[in-house]
Amino acid sequence: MKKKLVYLCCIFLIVGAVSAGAVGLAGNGVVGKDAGKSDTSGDVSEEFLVVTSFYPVYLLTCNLADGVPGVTVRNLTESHAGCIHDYQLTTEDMRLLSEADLFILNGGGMEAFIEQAAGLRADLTMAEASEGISFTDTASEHSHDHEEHDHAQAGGEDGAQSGVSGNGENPEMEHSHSEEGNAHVWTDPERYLMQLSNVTEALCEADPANEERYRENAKHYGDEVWLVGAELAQLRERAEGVPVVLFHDAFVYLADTLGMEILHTASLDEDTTISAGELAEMIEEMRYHGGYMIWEENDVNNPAGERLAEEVEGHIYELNPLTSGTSGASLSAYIDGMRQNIAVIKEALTDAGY
Amino acid sequence: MQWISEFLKYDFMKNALAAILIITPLFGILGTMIVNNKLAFFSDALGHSAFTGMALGVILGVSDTGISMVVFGILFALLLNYIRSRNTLSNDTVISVFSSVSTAIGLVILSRGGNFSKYSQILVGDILSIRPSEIVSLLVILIITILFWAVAFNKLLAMSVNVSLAKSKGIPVRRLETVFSVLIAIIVMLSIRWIGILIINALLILPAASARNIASNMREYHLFSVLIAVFSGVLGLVISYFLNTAAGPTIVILSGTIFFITLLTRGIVKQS
Repeated sequence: MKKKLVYLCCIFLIVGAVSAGAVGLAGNGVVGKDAGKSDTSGDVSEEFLVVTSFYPVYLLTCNLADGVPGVTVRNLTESHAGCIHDYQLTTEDMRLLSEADLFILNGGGMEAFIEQAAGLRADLTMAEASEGISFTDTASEHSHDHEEHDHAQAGGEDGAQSGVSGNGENPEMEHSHSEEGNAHVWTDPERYLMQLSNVTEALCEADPANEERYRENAKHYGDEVWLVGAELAQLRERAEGVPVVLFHDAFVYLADTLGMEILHTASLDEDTTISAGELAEMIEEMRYHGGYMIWEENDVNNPAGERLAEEVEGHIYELNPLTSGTSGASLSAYIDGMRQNIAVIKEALTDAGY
Repeated sequence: MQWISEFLKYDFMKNALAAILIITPLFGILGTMIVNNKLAFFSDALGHSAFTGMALGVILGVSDTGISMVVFGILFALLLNYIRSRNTLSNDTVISVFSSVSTAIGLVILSRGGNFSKYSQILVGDILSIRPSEIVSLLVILIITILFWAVAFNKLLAMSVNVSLAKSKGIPVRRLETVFSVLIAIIVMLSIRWIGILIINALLILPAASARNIASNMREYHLFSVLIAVFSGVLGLVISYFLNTAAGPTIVILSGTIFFITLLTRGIVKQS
């Protein structure tokens, strides 16, 4: 027995030594991810640390904290992670949240791990970018609406989604957010401006010393976003009432801003595949309304979209839902992405004869 | 030793360490009898049935789905045991049918409306989010397991050698099997949220299987199983902290490594 215990201890020592070597090789500490910083100087612990939940919020916050001294912005998830409905906090995330002065999330049920984060530190200041913004239904609820709608009356009036002002005016602010709504609001510039305002207020409140700089940045970035909104408003004249099928929840707000008739929204973010029934429903909707346009996320394999395009002789257009970016993306990634989307939509409208 | 203070600087790491120090010996002890009684597939099926337990909790509006998971786990274990005892089909077939059907029911209910991503956390588990009150419930089940072991160990051992022999000695085989299955069900369901459906069985089986490679008697078997489980658990948690990897799978990789080392060297050890 003693010999065997010694033998077991030897195994433990070997495994332990190899593990220690692996940890040492990985950089003598916690392995970093592509956490971007608005200011890379100095020790993080001495700075005002703002942690964001995922790419769109991170990009927004980086724009607001750009050039503000002593402020570090870090993102929990990798920039290419995309939507984070099922994201799970890692040890590094927990560590980062333990040190954060302010945690900014998108809200609206997007971050399922929020409860875990809240339980981690009772004194963690959290701010939701989507606070007070109205949401449309989720993808599943969209399809449900369309199942029920009467084709005999569908003369283009069913395009407006509940909770959204289809005329491009201010979304209802008094609508408090629903946990089950579609929280991918950033593709609507007006809602994005509201997020901008919410995050600016949160930053100013948590770090009043730099309030002036945050507000300056907010005005500058807000002006650029406003210009994108103006371009969309111009495009609305051509796009209004044009039927479209969407393969991402984020496109709902973009299509709605343009006043388009959303026939169906299927989300590929989810872990479940699109059912045969849902695909058949999409085909029927497209045929009935003479739909041609299918929007899907760029660089995503979507056999259901291809099948749909073949069946109805439609065309797939790849748009950027702005849920992810490359590591170290520029601060203008949102503006650039939206302008690219506008260019693709213009091309699609021309192809479809509008 | 600076790394220890860094590691334990955060409350979530202290909680995770406490949970690991309870779960791993528990799994080490339980695993020995699961391996002996050839119940590895049974505990795996129980893990998969957690989906349905959680789904029923969601449908019934139970605020803590952990309760519905435990209740369903117990019912699942009892039903499975009953059907196995009727000897209509081979054990592995019955268990496989139960495992697949309960997984499918859970998936269908939880993915209604495309919301499965909300529940996918249970697949890999998350030991970092455990709270002190949940650690206490694990401690209670550890104590119950040790008491059960003290009372029923010899009888379970006789059953693992030969069921007919155990019956002839007056051991209530059916009743004991039922109690043991219920105990496995409770432990699996209470710890699945922290360990995850995909790897919970590996944590139950690997330490015991490694210990079996080198042990010559029951005392060694239990001692080695617990030591290997605790070592893999603590080291896995430390590595997951420094390498930013998921804790559960890291622990399984370590247990697996130890299993293969003991498997390759078992001849030398047993000869000596």
